[in-house]
Amino acid sequence: MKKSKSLVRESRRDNCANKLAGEWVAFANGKIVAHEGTLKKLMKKVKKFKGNQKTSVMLMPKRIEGHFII
Amino acid sequence: MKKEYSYFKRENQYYPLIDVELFGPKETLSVKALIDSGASCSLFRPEIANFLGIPVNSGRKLYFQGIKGKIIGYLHQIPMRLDHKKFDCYIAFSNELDVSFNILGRNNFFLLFLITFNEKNQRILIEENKEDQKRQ
Repeated sequence: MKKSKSLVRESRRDNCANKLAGEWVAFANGKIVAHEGTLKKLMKKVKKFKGNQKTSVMLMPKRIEGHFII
Repeated sequence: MKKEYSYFKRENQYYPLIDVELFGPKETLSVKALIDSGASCSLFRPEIANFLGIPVNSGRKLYFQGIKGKIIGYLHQIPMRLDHKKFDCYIAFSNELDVSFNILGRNNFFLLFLITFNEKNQRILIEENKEDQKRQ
C-alpha cells in the first residue's frame, strides 16, 4: 500500500530528529537548516547564511530521554 | 497579540514548543521552549545563558524539585520577546538539567498570556492577557 505524502514527510522528519538526537539544531520556517554538536558552533554556521531568515534553536532530545512527564 | 503554534513532533509524541527571543548582554537568540503548566518556574539550558553572555551562577540560587530529585538552578531576569510583545521573564539556568527542552513555566510567563492547549489538533493558542495590562 502506498504511503500518503504527509505520512512520508512525517516519517522523514522523525528519522531526521532521531539522527540529530543530542545535537543543537537550527530551524527556519519549520525546517531544519543547520545542526552542530555545540550551540556556539551552530550559531557560527547560522550567522554565515542567515540573511533575513528567522531561525530558532533547540537541543534535540536524546533517544534515552524517552517520553517527557515534566 | 494572538498567535497559534503547531506542536513539535518527536517519536510519535507531540510537544507544545514555541519560539521565544532572548536578549542577553552579548547576544540575542531565538530558542524553542516547551510550555509547561506543571512547572512553577522557567528553566533553560545553561548553554543558552553562556551564549547570551550571562554567567549562570550569578543569579539567585534556587532548588528545583522534579520527579527524579532536586537540582540547583540560578534565577535571572531576562528580556524576552514573543511575537511582538517584549517583557522581562524570570528564567533559571541549571548546569544539572538533564532534559534537553527549555521549559517555560508559570512564573511569570503565564501571567502575561492566556494559553490554550488544543491537544486534539496539536496546536497551542497564545494571546495577550488584557487583564494583565489593566492591572499595570
